[in-house]
Amino acid sequence: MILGLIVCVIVVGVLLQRRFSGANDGARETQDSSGSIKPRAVATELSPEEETAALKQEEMELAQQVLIDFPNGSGSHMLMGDLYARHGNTTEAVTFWEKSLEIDPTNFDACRNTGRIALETEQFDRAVELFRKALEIRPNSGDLRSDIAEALMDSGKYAEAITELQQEIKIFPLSFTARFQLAEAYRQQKEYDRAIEHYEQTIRLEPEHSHAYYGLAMVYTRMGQRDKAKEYVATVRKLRDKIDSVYSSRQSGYREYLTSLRASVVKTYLDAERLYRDGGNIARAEELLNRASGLDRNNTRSLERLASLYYTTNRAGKALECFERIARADPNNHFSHLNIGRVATQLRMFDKAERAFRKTISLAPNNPAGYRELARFYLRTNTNAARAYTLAKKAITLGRNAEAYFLLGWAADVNGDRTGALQAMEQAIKLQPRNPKYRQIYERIKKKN
Amino acid sequence: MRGSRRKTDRHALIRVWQQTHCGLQLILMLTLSIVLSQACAGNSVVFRDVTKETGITFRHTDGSSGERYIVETVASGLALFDYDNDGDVDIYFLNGAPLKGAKFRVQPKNALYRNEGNWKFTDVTERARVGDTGYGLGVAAGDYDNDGDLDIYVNNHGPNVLYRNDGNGTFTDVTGKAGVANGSRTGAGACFLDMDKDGDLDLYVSSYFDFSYEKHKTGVADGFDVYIGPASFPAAPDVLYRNNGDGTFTDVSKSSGVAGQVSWGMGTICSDYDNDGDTDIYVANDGAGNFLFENDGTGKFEEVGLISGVAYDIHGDGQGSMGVDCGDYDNDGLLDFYVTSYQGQLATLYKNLGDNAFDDVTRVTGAGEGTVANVTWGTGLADFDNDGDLDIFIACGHLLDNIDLFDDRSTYFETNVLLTNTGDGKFVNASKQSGDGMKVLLSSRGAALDDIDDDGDIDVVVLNSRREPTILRNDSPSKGHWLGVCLRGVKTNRNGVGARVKVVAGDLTQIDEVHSGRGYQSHYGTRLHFGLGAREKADRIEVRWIGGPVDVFENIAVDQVLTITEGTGPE
Repeated sequence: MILGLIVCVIVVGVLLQRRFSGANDGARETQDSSGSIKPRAVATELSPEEETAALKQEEMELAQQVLIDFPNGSGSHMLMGDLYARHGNTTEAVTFWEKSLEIDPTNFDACRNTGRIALETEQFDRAVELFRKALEIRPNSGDLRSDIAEALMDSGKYAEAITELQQEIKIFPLSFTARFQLAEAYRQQKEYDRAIEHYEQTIRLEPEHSHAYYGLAMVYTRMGQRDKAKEYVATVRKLRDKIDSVYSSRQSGYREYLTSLRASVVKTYLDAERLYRDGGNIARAEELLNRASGLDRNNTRSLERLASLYYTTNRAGKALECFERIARADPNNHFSHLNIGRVATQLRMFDKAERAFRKTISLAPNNPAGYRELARFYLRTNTNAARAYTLAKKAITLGRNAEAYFLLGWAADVNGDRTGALQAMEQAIKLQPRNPKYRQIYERIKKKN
Repeated sequence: MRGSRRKTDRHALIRVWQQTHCGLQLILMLTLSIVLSQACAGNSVVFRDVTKETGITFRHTDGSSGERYIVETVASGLALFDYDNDGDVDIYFLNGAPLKGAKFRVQPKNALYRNEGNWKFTDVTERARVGDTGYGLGVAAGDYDNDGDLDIYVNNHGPNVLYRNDGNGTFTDVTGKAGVANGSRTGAGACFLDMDKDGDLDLYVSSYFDFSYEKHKTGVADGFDVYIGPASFPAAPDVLYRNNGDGTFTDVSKSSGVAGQVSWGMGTICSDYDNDGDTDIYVANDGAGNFLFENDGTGKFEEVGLISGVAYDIHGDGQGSMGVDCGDYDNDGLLDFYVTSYQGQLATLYKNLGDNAFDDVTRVTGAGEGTVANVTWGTGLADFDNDGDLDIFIACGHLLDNIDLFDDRSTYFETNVLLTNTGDGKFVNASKQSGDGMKVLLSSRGAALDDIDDDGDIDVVVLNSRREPTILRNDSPSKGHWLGVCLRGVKTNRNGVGARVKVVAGDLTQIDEVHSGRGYQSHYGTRLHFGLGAREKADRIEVRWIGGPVDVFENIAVDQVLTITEGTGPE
């Protein structure tokens, strides 16, 4: 059972790291893929211009292949729309997003993206319509009401915008974007006291919000308090100088462009991979992920996805290799060490696992995960019960959740602290009453003499 | 009174009868006229592209060699002014010069065209000796030596040039003697103003940035080489020169207070924004907050752009500001500012609230219509249809000549924009309904507005990057009366630069000032123009001379150009 739990934890851990917004799922798109990947861009052999052309061609060919393989897929059209948008072709982007939305009326990203283009092209009513539709799809999506408010304010409908923003703040009280917009709306309505209140709240949430300071300066000028306004003007100048210095040092040559282009191509590969994987074509998915990880060695997202694929297809050894590559590319990423520890434990590579968990703790001393997993490791391998108990206690001080209490209970039990074990297990059950495992172990400890 | 002209009926059909002798040609042109007249029927403003009829052969170059030096993107401005004092407006085009690696068989130079009347122009550059071969960016015309004719200051990428008008159709380069070469910076706008009210014109010279070939770099957008933005180069300080009254100038940038602010300067305009009787300075800055230098009346300035609300747009965002003009768009007696900007940003209208504060009213007035997709440059407020309120002309054209390859929301060649004032403080985009002149597809930079054919309405000349200019004849159906006002200073500066004119006609009160240097690094409008609608006389005209008296005149006939000499009645 414990081994099963470890596997579960690993899978959940890997999945948690899939931080990709990407194309819509297209879960029922199961066509076979055709066309193997023909890498066109080999950085060491091509000039920047040639590499650019090769990468663009490769990306477009991939997207076209995906459309061939998933001709009726919402995700495939979304992928193509995203690609066009990234390359400045908004007309085509909107066409594909609209098609994607037509196929899957619940495609939130397509709806929102199309709305944003409408906003940028000053089709304010259309933008509001699309944002509202997106809101219907995902009612609690952050910032959507801010988008609606922006379109309303640009069309002079301040009162309506205020209603939207008040709702946004009710749901997301820490949204400084909504706070700032609300202040702006009140300023335009000449409700200066309210504007001041919300500008000040914006600054409390985001102390270097130069636009909020600017807003305060404008309000106080209108109120005839010029000295007060001057104080805020001084702050605006200070903050803007800081921003300007960042901009002036920003580079925009081929090196920087190629970095962004590779990221774009990798995203297309990852979006495509999700479609093939969800469609059951694991071989094609693996092929795409391998190409994506080769395209940009510093972009660890594709390796994370590849590790996940290997792990879920019972190839823990290859998953471990991926996590180790991530750790080499991004040595300070404590998640990669955590996953190395978990997979190495499963592969019975205990020395490697222990080193990895220790590394996790050293990289993220305030994160409970490292302490928890090292405790689990000691308990599972029965190598250092006392240390496991200490680690479990430390984990609890950093984050209280059902799994942490479960481990604490387990460690207490192993160390003969029956009372402590029962108390911890009770907490775990309280936090996750429907988890049968916790209850079973609790009952087992309880029955012990 | 000089040059009194009743507005003639300039219906296209009449013009055809006057100009055509060949029967076949007549029929063809008649047909064309009818078609065009019908196409524009009911429109308040109609511009015809008459470039080919003018004899103007000037073609602009940005001096490019393919290296994409940033200075290429911002060239050039132009000037409309009466260089030979014959009563009509002549045209001075600035030109680029070969940049490193560029080769030209004929050296590019600035060009002066004399207005011969009836839309014919003669190239008098050589004779007038104003064919500067420097890299021209900005220009202002002003009578700096108070000898009764307009001199020219050219703000170059490289040493600047001051041409003194010798009064006989020729100019003399007096830059060295005057001390206004301004080193070898990359220039922008320039303005003459009488900052200290001592009766002679001082000079504000805007600088874009500190550029050299060693500092050159380019950018990449979606895999295409592109010009890089100005923030990649250090901003350079603007310079203010005080006129010593003896043909020389002194750099007073530090003592005047303007040197304390440094940014990427572009278009400039000088006007009395706070109605306190002295001239203030507005500088449009590219990618940073705009400056408004408030004059204390003695030529000492405080930068108040940010606190007064003209530095940034409505949300507090800095714009890629290019050109700036001012005018009282809502006839409330206060001068408002209009500032052009980069693609994705609205050209911005700042309404003067009268208490040293402005509101960005772009959205609420519609003054940004048609601008967001474009890079906007030259601009001017003028009453094109003589209905008693100011309309807006905006010159457009992207600065990236390959923008079409990676952004489908903009194009290198763009049509210009005309916003007509509806009379209730709002604007409508009339570009598509205002004649073939608004359909010209080029990459425009400077724009200058004046009554070129002396027929009582405002025409437009546009300088287009790398191409021929566009000359737009205002063929609008007559909508109203008008009054031209030409100022002659006696104790104050000769052309009345900075003087405030108020015209009251029945229920309509309008104000304007004489500016020297405005829009996108250009000069125009030395002779003021007031559209009066149906009002058949001006009840009262007030002239507040800068550093001088206030002259008042009553019951003035309309549809004429009135020359007013300081301290006397109108001629």
